Amino acid sequence: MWKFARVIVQHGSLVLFVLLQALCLIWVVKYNQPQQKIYLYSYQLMASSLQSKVQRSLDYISLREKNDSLAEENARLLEKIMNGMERENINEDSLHLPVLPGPYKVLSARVINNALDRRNNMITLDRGGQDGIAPGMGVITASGIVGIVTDTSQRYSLVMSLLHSNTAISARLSRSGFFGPLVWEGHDPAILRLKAIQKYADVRMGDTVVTSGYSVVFPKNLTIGTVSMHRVSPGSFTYDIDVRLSQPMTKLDQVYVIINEQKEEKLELESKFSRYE
Amino acid sequence: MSKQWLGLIIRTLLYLLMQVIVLKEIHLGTGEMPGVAILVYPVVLLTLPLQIPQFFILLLSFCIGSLVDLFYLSPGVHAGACLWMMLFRPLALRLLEPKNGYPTDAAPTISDLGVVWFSQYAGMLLVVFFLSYFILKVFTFVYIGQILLGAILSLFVSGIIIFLLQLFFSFRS
Repeated sequence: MWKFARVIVQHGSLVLFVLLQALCLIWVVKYNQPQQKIYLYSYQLMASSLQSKVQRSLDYISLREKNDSLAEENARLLEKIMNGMERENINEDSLHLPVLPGPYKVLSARVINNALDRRNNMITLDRGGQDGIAPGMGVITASGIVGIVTDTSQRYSLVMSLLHSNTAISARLSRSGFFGPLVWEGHDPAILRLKAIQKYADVRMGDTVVTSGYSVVFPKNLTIGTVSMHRVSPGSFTYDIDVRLSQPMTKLDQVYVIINEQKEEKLELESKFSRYE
Repeated sequence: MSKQWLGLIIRTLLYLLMQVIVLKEIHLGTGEMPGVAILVYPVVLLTLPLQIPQFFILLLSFCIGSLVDLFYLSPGVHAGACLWMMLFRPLALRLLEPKNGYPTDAAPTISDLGVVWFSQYAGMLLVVFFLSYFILKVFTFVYIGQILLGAILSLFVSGIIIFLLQLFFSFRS
């Protein structure tokens, strides 16, 4: 035993140094605020660029598959145009790309990082400030909504996923028109909870839930999901409505960022409301 | 023998007290960036007797650094800097070894090894200490200028204080 200890004392000093230094570094980034910020920022930067590299190489492998799906989509669009030329009215809503009315511009982006396992989940996109993305913009896919941009760097942007405790999307029941905030309860990544729907409202299973368009983030009538459960708890005045997302958050790749060019104008006008309170 | 150790412990405590009670309150420099840090407690580690194995020296430097960190509210910064400094101690001792080796039972102090030897030895290791201290404190090489400036100024100020204190104690004993 003593022999062993002596060997450690004589030859283990370098190992000891490495161990203690590692402990120090962990302490530094864990308990010192400025250092922690720098560490997290650098980590995010490195992780993002690594992830985009990995993604790029993976993309290369699946090029053939992508090609096929693009060709398929092309074919479908061509079909619609041909049909449209005959019938003179193209049903825009059924095109694969979401067509938005009014002041909105759409920018395509790819998801390069996506978390599901936490209470507050974030998504990283491969486009950022230099492409015109800014905090507060909505992110959607062809079949549903994804989240809201919170931070951008030069080439990447961070999106607060729907699966986040601060999420509150203004949503509306498409059939009956009642609206309320849509939040995530933190259990099932496929289910969100629609709140504040009065109990006299007409809610049915399978009802479509869409964006209300009352916020400046998402335009009106984008599909969010369908009602998968509804009930009124005893003593409550409002429904508990579970909404199954039409765009599963587990499968995100191509997304679209919505740029609202009249956002400032609307917010500025609405801020005048405080004068009358 | 035990008297020597008792003296060592008392000296260590006095230096630490001076560091966290008096010197901590002196703020030189301007603005919110780390200015000049007056840190004299590393001399406690510098002057530990040569007979102590490197293993315990590292442990001691970690403990003393963490103790100072407790008062400076910067877990890991002082401890890390102390560890880096003490990592280079054997190298410094080898570089500065006198022709006929170190006297037995010596400590790397002015009274044992002379003014010139001590200033070379302390100078070398304090450069390591202050560089690693400011790197850990600033924590980004974006401000490399600030790191270097802080390290040089702090080394200058603290070095002079350390040297004078050592000189004073060596004359007294």
